[in-house]
Amino acid sequence: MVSYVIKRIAESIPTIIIGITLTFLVIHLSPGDPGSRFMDPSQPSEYREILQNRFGLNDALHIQYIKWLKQVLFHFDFGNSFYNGKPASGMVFSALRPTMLLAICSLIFALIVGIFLGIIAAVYRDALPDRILTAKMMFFFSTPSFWLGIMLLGIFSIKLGWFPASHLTSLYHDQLNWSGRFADYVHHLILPVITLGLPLSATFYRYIRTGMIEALESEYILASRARGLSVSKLLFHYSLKNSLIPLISVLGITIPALLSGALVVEVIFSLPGLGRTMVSAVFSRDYPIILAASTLAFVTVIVGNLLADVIYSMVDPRIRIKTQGVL
Amino acid sequence: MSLITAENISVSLGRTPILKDINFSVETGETLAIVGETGCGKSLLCKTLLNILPQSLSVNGNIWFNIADKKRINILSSGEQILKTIRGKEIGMVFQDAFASLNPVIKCGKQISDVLAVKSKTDHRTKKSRIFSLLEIVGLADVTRIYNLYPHQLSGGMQQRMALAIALAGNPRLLIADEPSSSLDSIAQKQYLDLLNRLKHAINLTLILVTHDLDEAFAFADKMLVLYAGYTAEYGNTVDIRTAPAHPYTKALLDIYQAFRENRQPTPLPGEIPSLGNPPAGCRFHPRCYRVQPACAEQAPPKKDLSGRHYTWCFNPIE
Ligand code: SF4
Repeated sequence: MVSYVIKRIAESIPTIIIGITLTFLVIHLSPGDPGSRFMDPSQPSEYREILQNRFGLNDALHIQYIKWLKQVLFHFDFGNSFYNGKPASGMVFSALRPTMLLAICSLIFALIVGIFLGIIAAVYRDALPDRILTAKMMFFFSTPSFWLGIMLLGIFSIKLGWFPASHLTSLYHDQLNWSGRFADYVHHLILPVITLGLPLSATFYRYIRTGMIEALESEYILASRARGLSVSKLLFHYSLKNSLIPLISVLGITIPALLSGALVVEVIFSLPGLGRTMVSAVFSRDYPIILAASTLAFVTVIVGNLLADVIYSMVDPRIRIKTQGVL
Repeated sequence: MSLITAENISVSLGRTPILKDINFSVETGETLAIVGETGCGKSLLCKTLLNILPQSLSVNGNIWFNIADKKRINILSSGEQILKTIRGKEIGMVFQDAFASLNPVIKCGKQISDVLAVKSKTDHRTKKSRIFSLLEIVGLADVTRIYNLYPHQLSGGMQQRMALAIALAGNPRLLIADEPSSSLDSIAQKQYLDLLNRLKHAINLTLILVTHDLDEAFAFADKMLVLYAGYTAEYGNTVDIRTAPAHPYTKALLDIYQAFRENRQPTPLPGEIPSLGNPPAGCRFHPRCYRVQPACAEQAPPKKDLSGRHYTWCFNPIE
């Protein structure tokens, strides 16, 4: 298993390099330049040259690229923000925390809702509860999160005033004790988590429902009934474990969706995360930040996929044997 | 009193009857062989005996099972709560496809222990030694290793034995073995059947053996139930049926069996096995029967008592 993980990490390094190279090219070749972004139109155009020089943007593209890649690979230095001069990696890392909080909470929410409702639908297959749930979940599955977010925001925070409309914490957050702080986080996170998690739970729901139906119809469940096992054992132990296996492989592909979804949700709810940092960096052409953030996103996605594969092989004994055989 | 008695069991899918009016009884310690070709409804009958058929099938009739104190219950009309005390504990069942009947993601030892857990809350150590002894009883060596293996890591023969160990875990009085040897090679088949036979005597097991192999039936069974396309063709004492088959279908099966024994080319039955979804009217065997009579195509044949322990359902039985 350890050698498998090391092999996968080694394999993913070229992928990351190709990914960030493409990002580098796309940003540099797209119209607009940082120099003019930071300039007052009334200032003389020499200033623009000075700025461009300071940012190292006047060199030929391949020289800029090699310089930058060397810095990144050997010093893990993504340069400083054009905007405020702080190190890009530090800024991006501190923006990652709220994003991770949002993403992990949404994932947990989606898993709980998806698995729970999936089981109910499979047990009442084709009956009323299943039909209602499937219709509802199809709706959430096809709902874009920006629309859902705006609706939730409009209804629950602007109209009813139940939840805050923006930010991760209240202004008086620092004066609260730990339980108060926790409640404050929860209060702020509920709407964003629902926005990000609900469409995802619909995906999980579909997998669990299908997996559970398949398991419940299988010969080994029939045989387990013949053994006199209790219904709860049949459902939660004998069937669920089997239906979780396909879900874990989906988990790998949902991680990119979760990140890009978090980007939108952060903008809607003004959360200070990676997504918002990225969006504002794109608008201000803050190249170091864009590149650092996308590198981090690549790494997160690859690590997430790797994690999903490792969990998958841990849960499904049949896969484990195969990987052992190969290695 | 018989251990299990099936009275007029009929199973149908919508309006199509799949099994029709099946009757039999098995005394404690006896072995009943249910014989018939693939697709005659044998497996379905086994599942009916435990009342585990899907709800899309409707079941009629009674299955009386004799629980302790000369009390008997009807398995088909009992609630899940009572059935839970019957399934696995009074009646164990080995499915035809042993591998498919084992949960692929749960270790073998755990699958046995789950059956034990519902039986009685014994402590961990005694439970484990009980599992080891079960594995030994069914002829599995290296029990500590097997305890921690997943079903796909076992060979076909071992999977079959594992399924048997699980079926025996609840100390059942009746064991239903649905074509236990069909997936094994002939040597493993013989070993497995010998094992069943030994167990039967060692722990006084009553056995319902489902098979398409007359050899097996003759070797092990006290009674036989011959099924054809969901109907009973013949039912009775094995010796009687072997020496004097009354139903043309049983006779045909016996002729084929005899031909194989004598290394002759058997004469196959004309026609094909009817599908259970669309069976012929009247006697279901009539399109293939050499003794067919006009009445055979019109109505189902009546039950004929041949000797008080040998019955057939035929208009024109072989006398
Ligand atoms: S009832 Fe008629 S068709 Fe059926 S087995 Fe007897 S003789 Fe043949």
